[in-house]
Amino acid sequence: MSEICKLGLSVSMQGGVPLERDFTVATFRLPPFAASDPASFGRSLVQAAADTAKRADIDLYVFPGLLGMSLCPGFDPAAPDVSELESGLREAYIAAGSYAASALGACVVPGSIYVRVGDDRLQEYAAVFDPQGNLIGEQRQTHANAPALAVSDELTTIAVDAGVKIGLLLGRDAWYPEAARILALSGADILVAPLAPPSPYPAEQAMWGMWQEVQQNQTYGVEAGLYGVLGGTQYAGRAGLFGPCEITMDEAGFLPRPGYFVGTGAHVARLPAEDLRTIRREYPLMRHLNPALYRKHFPMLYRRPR
Amino acid sequence: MNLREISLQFMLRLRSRPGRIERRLRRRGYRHKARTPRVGVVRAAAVQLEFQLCETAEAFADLMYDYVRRAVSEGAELVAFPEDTASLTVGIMPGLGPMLRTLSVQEALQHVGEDAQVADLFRLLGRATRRIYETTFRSLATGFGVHIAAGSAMLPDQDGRVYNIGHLFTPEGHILRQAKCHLLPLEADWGLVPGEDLEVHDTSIGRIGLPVCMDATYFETFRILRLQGAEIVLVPIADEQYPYNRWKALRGIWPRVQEAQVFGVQAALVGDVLGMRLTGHAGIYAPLALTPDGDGILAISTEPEGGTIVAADMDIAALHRYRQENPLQYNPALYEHYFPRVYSGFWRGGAG
Repeated sequence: MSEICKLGLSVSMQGGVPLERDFTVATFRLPPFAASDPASFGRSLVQAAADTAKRADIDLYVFPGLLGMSLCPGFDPAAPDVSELESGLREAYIAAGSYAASALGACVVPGSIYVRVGDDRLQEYAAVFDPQGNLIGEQRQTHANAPALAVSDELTTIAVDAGVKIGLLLGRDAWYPEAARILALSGADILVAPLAPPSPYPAEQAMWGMWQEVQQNQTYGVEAGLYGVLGGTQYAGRAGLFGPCEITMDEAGFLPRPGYFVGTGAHVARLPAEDLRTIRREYPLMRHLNPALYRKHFPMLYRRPR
Repeated sequence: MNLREISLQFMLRLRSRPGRIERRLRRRGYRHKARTPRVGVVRAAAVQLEFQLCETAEAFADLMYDYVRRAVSEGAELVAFPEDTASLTVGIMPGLGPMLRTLSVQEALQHVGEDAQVADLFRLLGRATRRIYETTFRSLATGFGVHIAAGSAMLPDQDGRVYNIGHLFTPEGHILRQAKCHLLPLEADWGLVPGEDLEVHDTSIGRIGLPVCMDATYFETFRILRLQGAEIVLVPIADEQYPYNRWKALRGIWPRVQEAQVFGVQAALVGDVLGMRLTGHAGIYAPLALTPDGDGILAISTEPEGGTIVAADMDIAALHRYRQENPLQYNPALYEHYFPRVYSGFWRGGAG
């Protein structure tokens, strides 16, 4: 692993230069773990990545959304009840994530969890760790899965290496293009979505989430998916790695080959920096954004829709 | 204006006289009438138009008549034509028209020794194009008693700026317009200017937005229209893409319809056009839950080449029920925080 995550806690809102080097990502499709303490959860993360261990070039591991709720047996994310949330869950999740990143020698997004906001509300939360196990970035959900859940009005890009910034989209955020646009225009070249979509989750539903966020922002994208039963709800996540159609096999927008990964375990691809620069240069979508138009309507129209 | 230009303009005026078009269409007749509208349901037809240069105004009117009559016979109350439908009239330009069968516009201009931008050609042809285009579609809309989204036309404004303008002709004879707000890089090179506003039009069949082609690549277009109350968004396209690639085609109207919870009608210009090879499907789209196969498609052409029409019913009442059951949960505080900053500094170094 070369030079990875040397920026430590650097969290940037600047646009800056595009992806500066090739980056290799492993994303996962997994069921919840049978793990009730941080040590066993951390070991389960490492175990899940075992079949990728022989690859020394993986820079980032992304685990499914709500996987961290494995630490809170009995909690049903589909009907979140603040009284059922274990105190100290965030600390346990962070300890496990830190352990896994150190053990794997790579950056890690250990899925997501719910955290308490104030006395009576819950919010989806995820963290990013560097290969030394340091917490280098956090993100809270900005578009809620249910009205009862709290949302954040902060979206931050996270530098996972010199010249490599990611942005996290949690749950429903992946289907609100405003979130991906903010992250992409803030300099995120890789959009990362640890998801836990309830069943059914057909390909069409998935496609207008991360796949198309990547297309309209000319970034790379990572989707990790929870499947199986958690807290009484059936999940049907997929794993996928995405790039602009023009720089992918059969121009399908998937990496390393067309289609979602619906097996169990890791799905790995290298994200070439030069390819991304080339498509942005040859087909400059962002050059034709129309800020004068948006200024007339945004953000006022959201407050006063007609 | 020199004598040559005066002569050319005189000839173009002769070739675009409205009376010739109106007489031609009256002779063909309007025996089919739009069916009686059903409450809350709009039947739409999307045209997949095979490009052909029309060397006379009557030839253009005849071709459009055939498509509209077929759509009306299938019960359509709304007929949508593709982007650049008006470009078929470039054939009336003496000398230049035949060359455009094989050359790009830029090559053709160079071939005749003109040191000009492509936008200059649209300025030159603007008045004649407008007369043929507007006379044809206004006659057809009022004659058949249907709404016709006539795709788009490259037209100059009073100051000579050329826009790609979407048009909707109503059965009452009104013309609603919308300039394309997100240009293709090629159009920018041609010297076109982007529009700076988006409107939703209240019509007797629903609240309609009229963006043009590339506008559907940007989520902002459909979001603005939805927030302004759009129920139906019409997207005329003309995609230079050969061979056709279904993945790339999924980057336009289909995800935008899902994001905005509207009906979408896409009409496609196909064939060899001004030195380009265009492909694309005519289609009618809806939120996944409102389509029989759950794929977001109400109707789509079987092939991305060749001329055809597809038609489907759009249940506006069902759309409103769907919206009530699946309300969009915006985060205005987030957008207020970031939009002013990110849009004002959207140029990313090396990002295009």
